[in-house]
Amino acid sequence: MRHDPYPIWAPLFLTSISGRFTPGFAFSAMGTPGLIGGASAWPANNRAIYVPFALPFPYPVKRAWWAIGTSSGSLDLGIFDAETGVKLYSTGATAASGTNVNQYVTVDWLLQPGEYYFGLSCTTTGATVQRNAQLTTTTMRQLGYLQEASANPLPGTMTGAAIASSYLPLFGVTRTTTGY
Amino acid sequence: MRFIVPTIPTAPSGVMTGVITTLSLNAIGDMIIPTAATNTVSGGVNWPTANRGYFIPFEVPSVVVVKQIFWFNGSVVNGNVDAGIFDLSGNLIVSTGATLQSGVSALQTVNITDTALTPGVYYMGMSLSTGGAGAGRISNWQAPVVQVAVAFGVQQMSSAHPLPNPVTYANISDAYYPYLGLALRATV
Repeated sequence: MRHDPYPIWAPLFLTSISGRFTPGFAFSAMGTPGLIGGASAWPANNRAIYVPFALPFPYPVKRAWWAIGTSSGSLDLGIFDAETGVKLYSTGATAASGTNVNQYVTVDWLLQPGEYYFGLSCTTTGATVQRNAQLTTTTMRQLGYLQEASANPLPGTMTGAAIASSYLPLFGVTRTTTGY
Repeated sequence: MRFIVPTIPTAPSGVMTGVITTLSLNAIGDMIIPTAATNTVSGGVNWPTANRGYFIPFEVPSVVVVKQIFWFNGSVVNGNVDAGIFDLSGNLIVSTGATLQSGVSALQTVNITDTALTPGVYYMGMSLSTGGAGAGRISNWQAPVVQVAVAFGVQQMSSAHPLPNPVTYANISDAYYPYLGLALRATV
């Protein structure tokens, strides 16, 4: 499906750490740039982690992905309206696959400009995901990150709670269908 | 749903300042800066493999004219660099051609035919004719892990010196990508 209009120069990737769209530059400016140097265990079974992001232009979402380290259990990636918490899209529970690869799920959806949360949940602490573990929970709370227990599959409406783990997973969406 | 007025720059800084580099917000700086332990560029690592090309995606929100391409030589210079601009399909738009490295730990600029880029996403690419120990060095960014560089959209191609037309993109397999830039002004 062709999605018009969207800016032809829209970035290929929107990620959970993109400085222009998430609090990425804010936490960098707070002195805690988040080196992503390896995967570590998901912090709790069925926990969802929510990353706020703002999108100033339409974005054609063609793939959703997460940076899996060790595969175990299932993951669910979703996008939620920041005002209402309503889930607008999710991959559904998807079995983790691969080792140290970015795992992709095909999508075909035009995300409109607005304020949102990315959500990623995982069924098990047996899975590892590339993540930033240098942000403190206090910093993450100040920058708007949230979490939710018992959230795999992701709920129809998110109920965010204060983040309790120093864990920002690397995941996102692309506007390309294959390759880069 | 509440719609927002764009408050995020729609003309990213690399365009507004007249220089687009690997680290510009409209290139992969958007993701490098939040993930870097220290925001420095190293010149001390050999080019990983002779003739390998690396390709960095960047966004152009309005028409620009590229006048020069530049890179920063490291502490060893003994190879030829070819640097250029490609579209998303890998078609070459403009390149410097094979250019002998000149100047240790120095900025090296090459004038190119003034080239207009219309709005879109492109790749700036660079290959070096020599690799391994003692190879020419280019200021580079060492990605923490390859998987992260892949998530940034960085691509590579083997046997890419001089830069071919077209190039065939493949996800990067090295924790390395070069620091290079495009100048929209006559002087850098």
